[in-house]
Amino acid sequence: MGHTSVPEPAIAQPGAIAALFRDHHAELVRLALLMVGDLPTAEDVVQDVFASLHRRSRAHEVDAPLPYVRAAVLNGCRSVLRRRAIGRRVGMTHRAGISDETTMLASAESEVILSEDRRQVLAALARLPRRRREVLVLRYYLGLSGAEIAAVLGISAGTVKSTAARALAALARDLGEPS
Amino acid sequence: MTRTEERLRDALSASAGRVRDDRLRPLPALETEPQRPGPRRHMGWLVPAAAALSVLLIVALAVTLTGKSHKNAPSAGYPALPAGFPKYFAQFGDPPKLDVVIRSTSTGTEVTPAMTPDVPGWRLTPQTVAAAPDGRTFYLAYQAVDLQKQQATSQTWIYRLTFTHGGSANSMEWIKGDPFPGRGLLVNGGSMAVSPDGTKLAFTGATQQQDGQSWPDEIFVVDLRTGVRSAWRVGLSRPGQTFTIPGISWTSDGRSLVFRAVWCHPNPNSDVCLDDPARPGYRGPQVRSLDVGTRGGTLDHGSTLRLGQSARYPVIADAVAGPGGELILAVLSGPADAATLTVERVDATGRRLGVLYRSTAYGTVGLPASVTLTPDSTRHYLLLTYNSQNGLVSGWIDHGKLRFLPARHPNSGLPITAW
Repeated sequence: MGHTSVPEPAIAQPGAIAALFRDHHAELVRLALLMVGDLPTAEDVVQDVFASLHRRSRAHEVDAPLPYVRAAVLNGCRSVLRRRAIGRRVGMTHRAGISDETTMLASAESEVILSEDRRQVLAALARLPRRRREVLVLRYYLGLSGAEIAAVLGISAGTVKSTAARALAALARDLGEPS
Repeated sequence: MTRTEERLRDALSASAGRVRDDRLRPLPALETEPQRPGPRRHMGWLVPAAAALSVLLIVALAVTLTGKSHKNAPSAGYPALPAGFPKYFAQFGDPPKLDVVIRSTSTGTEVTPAMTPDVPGWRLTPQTVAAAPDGRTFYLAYQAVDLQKQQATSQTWIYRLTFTHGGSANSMEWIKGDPFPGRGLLVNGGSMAVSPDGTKLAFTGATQQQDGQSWPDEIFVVDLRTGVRSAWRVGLSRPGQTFTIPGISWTSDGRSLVFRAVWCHPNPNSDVCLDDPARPGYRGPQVRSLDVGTRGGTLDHGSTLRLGQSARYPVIADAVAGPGGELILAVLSGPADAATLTVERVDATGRRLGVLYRSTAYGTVGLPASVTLTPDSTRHYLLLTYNSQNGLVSGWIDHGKLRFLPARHPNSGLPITAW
């Protein structure tokens, strides 16, 4: 499972990065949270992305489009999930060695009481393959269009559409609903 | 939209909704150096001053703003802010609206405004802000000018801003003990600090005025519970030079203040006072401690020398008290085109205990004309640097890195004075 290839745009000046941070930091943390399941890790992922952006701003110019930053955050989330998986395979512990699904639920419960219904949905979402989960989160949390999701994930709009359809069908099956 | 889609959207929204903007960890782990703005400029003219450049940046905050009634002060005293708790910083609003605003260090979002009080017959201009240890209380000093009597009767009025419920409610109260005497100017370049237990407020005042500019040269300490005040002034002046106190901070036991004493030469018709080693009678800046257990007195008898400028510390750009009795210094060293800014811990003998932050970027983007360190109650340090090429760079030091504040800086002024 490799990183999704995301075209690298030229990067913004620090002022633009600061503005991007100011305007979208919380949204990006929420996106990362939905992928990795716990807030500290989500914040780490987003901070790493901004740190990387800032480092590269020295050598480039132009702007840092939001899709690129979102893609970078998702890449960071994948890295986290990969490290967790490797940790489990080699017997290491990572946050008590629990699964992504459990992590997502446990952290969700830590600050708000999610209804049982929402817990079931999130658990089903966590059981989906990574790509399908990303598509659903981008569409149903961020409200991105098919083209925007395609830009973020570096795949075609057609693939987005088919992936979303399969993901929803799988989710519906898991939840015992007609698809 | 199918039932599955509805449930999914609802679950994602609820899960993401537990992330509160004001509780996000502040700032990305950005690199330390400010961005070089463009082609490198010739910096040779800075060289003579670079050996000991320590300029007091003074920016006049003009414009009228007026405000509100005075009330009795409530009791003071705060629990310390736990590490990682949501933090806020105070920033002057963009000109011409000079109200102070409180912003989240996570997002830069305005949390609550501190509207300049509207007092009939007076013009109030915000001067300096200090944060209390609870991180939710800020003290704001205003220059108050009697519009009928003009400048001769200007005073310093200090208000306490408290806010609750994430900033949805706030109150401004006039603290006991003011207006303060003298010219009443807390003057730009001076500073204000709340004691670690939140019961005392220390700030600089000005007894001298030259060419229309006032320079901070006295220290007040006011007990916020009783209004009793103490003052330390005179005794450190030198003929032909202007004595100033650019910054003060409390030691962790609340018994002393650490301040930087600078002897400088005001640039004619400007608000800059230049620490110029080429001038006859030059005396390098000193870091001094002031015991506040007394009822005031002179600065020479009341304070002791902690550290002087030396070859090891060629330009002490700022100094504050460290948590264990040590000093935290911001030091500039090296030639102008390869200068290094370090923030380091130094013990009572001047021995270096450790480096908190180091940046060599200023050698390429221009030496900072002003460096300000502001500790918070958890002993993190806000670092502000300013030079004419890059403007203000603000961030707090975290494990050797400067984490930029999500703040917009107006072109003029020192907009962040407390956090």
